[in-house]
Amino acid sequence: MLAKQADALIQPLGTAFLCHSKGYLLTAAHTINLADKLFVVPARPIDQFNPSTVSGQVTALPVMVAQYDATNDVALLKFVEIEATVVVPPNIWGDDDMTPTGASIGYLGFPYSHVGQHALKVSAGVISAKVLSLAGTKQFQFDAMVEAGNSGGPLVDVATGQVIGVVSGRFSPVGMGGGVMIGNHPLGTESTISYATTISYGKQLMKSEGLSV
Amino acid sequence: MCDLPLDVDEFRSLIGELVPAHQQSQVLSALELPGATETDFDQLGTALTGEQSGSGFIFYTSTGAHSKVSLWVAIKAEMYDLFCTKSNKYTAERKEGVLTVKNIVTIIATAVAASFNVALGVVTGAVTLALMCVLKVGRNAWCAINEPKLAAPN
Repeated sequence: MLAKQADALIQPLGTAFLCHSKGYLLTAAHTINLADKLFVVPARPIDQFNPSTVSGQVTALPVMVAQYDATNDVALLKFVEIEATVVVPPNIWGDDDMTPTGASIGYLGFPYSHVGQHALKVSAGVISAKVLSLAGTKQFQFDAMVEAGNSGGPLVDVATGQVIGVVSGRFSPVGMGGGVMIGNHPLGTESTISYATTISYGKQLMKSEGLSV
Repeated sequence: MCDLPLDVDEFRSLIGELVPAHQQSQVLSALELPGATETDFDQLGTALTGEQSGSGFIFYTSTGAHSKVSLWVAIKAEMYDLFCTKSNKYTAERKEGVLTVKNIVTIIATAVAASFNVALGVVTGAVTLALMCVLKVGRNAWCAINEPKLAAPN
């Protein structure tokens, strides 16, 4: 879980995932403000029973923004103040062009983490289209409804187990909202058409950082 | 302090050297923009720093809890401090003949990156744009335009 420091509290922003053994993570650029002090709260082992809501003290590891691409909505984060050596499986990166429309996908994230849902959630769908954003960014469109807090999570091709994208958002029939809000939730923005930036942009940031991909 | 001319070739070289590959085309586009105004640079700068919300019909699914502090304004404030004031912070840099565009970008980017939570390369593109704006608009005009917004209160 990606979070920021707000006074003495940790405030969830979205999701980030480990991408390189030298202590780097990928996320979506829009989840962060470059002025914020950022942390990641490690996910608990996903196959054990964990509290769905975490309260009190948590382990929060400070990270900084190493590379940032707002246009394509990806950011590379790096652990700071700690020597982080993490295990990232080999051959985890998929290929934008090789993943076919119709492929089964999974995605991981922390939806509604800002209102107390702190369990890492695995969700599923299929690639419903390959599209270009208004900015020309290659995106996977998939048939699921990503929620607030999912942004920055990995999109995984189930057949290969490879990461093929970074979750970004969903289609909103009413645009960015601006209408009626209930409990800080904009009505009318729901749809089961979601988007992930293809992983090639994340790999480009890692290359810019001098990391082998 | 010395007034730097806008040397297009110098900027091109600087962009190739200091600005990350994924931002270079955006920064170069500002160099080619005829009659660019400060508003144009504000648009480009906030695009690089991720401060433009919204992308057509895509609803971003972060929690929206990030702060509203503007890195672009912070960069412009540093430019203002350097070019438009006699503050102690940049006394050495203002000496005649010391400043080059590369020096300025490095100095301002270092100051901004140190104040925030980012690596140097994250801000060099936006800092290059901000400097380009000062030189395109002209230092005196730029200072006058920005005085109400960026001048520190007495």
